[in-house]
Amino acid sequence: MGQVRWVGWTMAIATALVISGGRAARADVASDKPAAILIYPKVQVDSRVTESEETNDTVIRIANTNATTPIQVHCFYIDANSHCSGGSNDGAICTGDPSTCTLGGFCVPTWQEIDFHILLTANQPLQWKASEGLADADLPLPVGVCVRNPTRTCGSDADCNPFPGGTCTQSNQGTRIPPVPEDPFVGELKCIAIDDNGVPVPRNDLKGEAIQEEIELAKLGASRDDFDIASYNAIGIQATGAAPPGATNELVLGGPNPEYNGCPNYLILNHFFFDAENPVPHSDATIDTKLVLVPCSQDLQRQIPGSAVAQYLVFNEFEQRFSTSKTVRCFQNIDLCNIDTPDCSRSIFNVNVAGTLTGQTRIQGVDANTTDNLGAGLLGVAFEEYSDGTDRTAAFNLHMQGARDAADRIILP
Amino acid sequence: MRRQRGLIGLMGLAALVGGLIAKPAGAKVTTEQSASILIFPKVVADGSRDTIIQITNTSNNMRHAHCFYVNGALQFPQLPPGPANQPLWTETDFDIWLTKQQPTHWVVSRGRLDNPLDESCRVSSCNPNTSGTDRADCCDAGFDPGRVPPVAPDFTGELKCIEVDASGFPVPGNALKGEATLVEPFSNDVSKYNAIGLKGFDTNNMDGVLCLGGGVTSQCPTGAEYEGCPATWLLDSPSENAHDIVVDQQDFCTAEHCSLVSTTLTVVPCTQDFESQKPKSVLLQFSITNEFEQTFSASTTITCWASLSLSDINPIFDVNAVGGEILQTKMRTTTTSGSPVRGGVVAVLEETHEMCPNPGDCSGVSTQVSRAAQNAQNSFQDFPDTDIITIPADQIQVP
Repeated sequence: MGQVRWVGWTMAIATALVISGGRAARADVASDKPAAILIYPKVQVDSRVTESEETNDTVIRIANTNATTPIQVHCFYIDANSHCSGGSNDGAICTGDPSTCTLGGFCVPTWQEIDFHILLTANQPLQWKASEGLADADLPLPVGVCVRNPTRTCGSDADCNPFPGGTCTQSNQGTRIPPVPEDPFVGELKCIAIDDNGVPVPRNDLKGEAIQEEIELAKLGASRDDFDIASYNAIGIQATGAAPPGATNELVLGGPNPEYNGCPNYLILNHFFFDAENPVPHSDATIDTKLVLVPCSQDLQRQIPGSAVAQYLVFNEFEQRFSTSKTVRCFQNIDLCNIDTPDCSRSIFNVNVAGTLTGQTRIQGVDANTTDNLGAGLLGVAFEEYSDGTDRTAAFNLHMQGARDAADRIILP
Repeated sequence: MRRQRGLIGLMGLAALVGGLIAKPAGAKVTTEQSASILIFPKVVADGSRDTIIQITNTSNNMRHAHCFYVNGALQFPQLPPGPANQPLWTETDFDIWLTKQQPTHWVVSRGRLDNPLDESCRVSSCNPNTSGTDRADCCDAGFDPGRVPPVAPDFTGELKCIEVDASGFPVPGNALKGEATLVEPFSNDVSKYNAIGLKGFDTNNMDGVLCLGGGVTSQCPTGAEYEGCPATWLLDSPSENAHDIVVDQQDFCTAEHCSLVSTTLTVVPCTQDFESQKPKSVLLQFSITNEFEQTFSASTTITCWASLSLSDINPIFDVNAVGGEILQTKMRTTTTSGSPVRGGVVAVLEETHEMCPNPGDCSGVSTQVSRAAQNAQNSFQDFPDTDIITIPADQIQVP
């Protein structure tokens, strides 16, 4: 009899699985679907007109895809600039140029966040320049108006009280987007859907894009100015709808009890090897790819940046495999050829070393053996630069594969 | 007896639960995961621009794909589209083979020869004028994926690659990923997007009728074989003739505006009959919201393939008409009397920003143009009807 029961249960489960198609729901991070957390891995501003006569800025776009309900968003700019410590230029920004720090000063990577709130009305798109932000006067809908008396401004239905049953229209009231904290600035922007009390909510209604713009003013001898834009989609982390397993300010990404979908196990980058010639006939440019990686985990409360060791597996078109690794702490914006060596001519990412124009690189974040126990997932975007005296750039989102066993964590202040 | 009745009841309940779960496959195309069908909606080789295709096998086994170029150029390219000026809709197909984890690339105007004698980039550098020729060397170094033909002159259309087995039968391997880079050779202006992927399911019966989404029908006896195509897309774009807020703040800009921005939307219907060569028409509805939460609507019909500036779709997209600089547009397909099935489409956007240092003059030689392509977004909650790709029977055979 026990055997009959066992067979019955097995058949019942099998029947259900066969009929349902046996397809388990997968939890994926995606930049092509609305989400509850948006990550813009690279935001860059440099309005100084220096010797290169270049100035650049980033236009941030964010939209509420919900057609009826406004959404509150808590955003964090994460400043990944390096600064001089000591010496005569103490505190000066030295990102990418350690020689700025003189007389015994050291260029030290720093990590600092500033945060702000946005209120998006139903279906509303919003854009701003990272260098300037969006002040009250620039908000499209700074205040609401009472439906029954449009001449009366309001912040909530209560403000329309003299008109019984009157309601206040949706507005951006409470929104103030500051400029990035430094100029030049390089870092990340992260936005999280929250409720009126500031508690993260599982509303997959946000989408976004970043457009990086670079203007090179005519140099001595150059007849024309130059202008370049590159855009990528913000990476979305979808909420699962599950209740937070711990504190409300601790967002759990993936793992056994996920509040949000987990970060991918692998990032996959298709790229041209460093210094490859543009193969399009009649062109005359070489191609270089910059890879931007940010850790999925961050402790914004204790100002502990996420970190992971990025393992790179590189395949060329001959199916030959190379590998290297480099630690990512907080933020990495690096030429591919500088991942494994400072000398690009000797890099496994150099076209003369790899032997073919294009390659596939698989990137896996592994635990950097830190004690913070935050997680080692990585996310990123790539910028492909075509140079023939002037630079033209295309940005694109990386592909993702697999789910990580361990959770990543974002801890909010 | 009572126990047996209980077991039978349990099985019935399980079947009911399973049946409830077995709703039609939703639209969940991906631009970030490997898939079994890759769609590159915008491929251009018209003399002024060219396209580099990159495809990679992300698995540890040999993979094969059957690819189709579909030429969506108008019969009379100088004239506007209309009933008497339909897209050509001619297709050219070819096969590619990729070894484990192998990336490959080609320039669509030249294609790629199957030439194992190409010298490695360790030996020679790439002369771009030799791409796709028997002297390509470094430009085409690597295991050639097969013979990739060049596209027809003045090609504007799409590329679609379907994962097949070594015998040419469609399979749900989900091992392909791809990118397209649109290049203007003389200025090196580039824009890049990820190929749109449709994941395959184990329900694939390996015939020439590929069922994208939906449930069991007479044409799709095993139900959906691939993820469905979205019937709704979410598009963020500046309004037409809006201004670039970064350019306008520059010191050289002494006028109110020194820039113009426009957006091109490329749309391809997912249903395609390569056997009877019948191009599909789709009615698209647009719901447009500006930053002031004002909503407008528009519609247009496309056949086969279309790459339209937003202002060509409807003047409401113009900044002066819509009254805002930034738009969120929900584009959805709808049924018509001639097409009762609500099929899906795939879409990609490309923004063009013009910097005009001479205030008020965006047509002068000093005007600088830069483009950026973007993958559009779609929703998880989207369940269109089944789309069907029909492959000619004689193409499903040993390549």
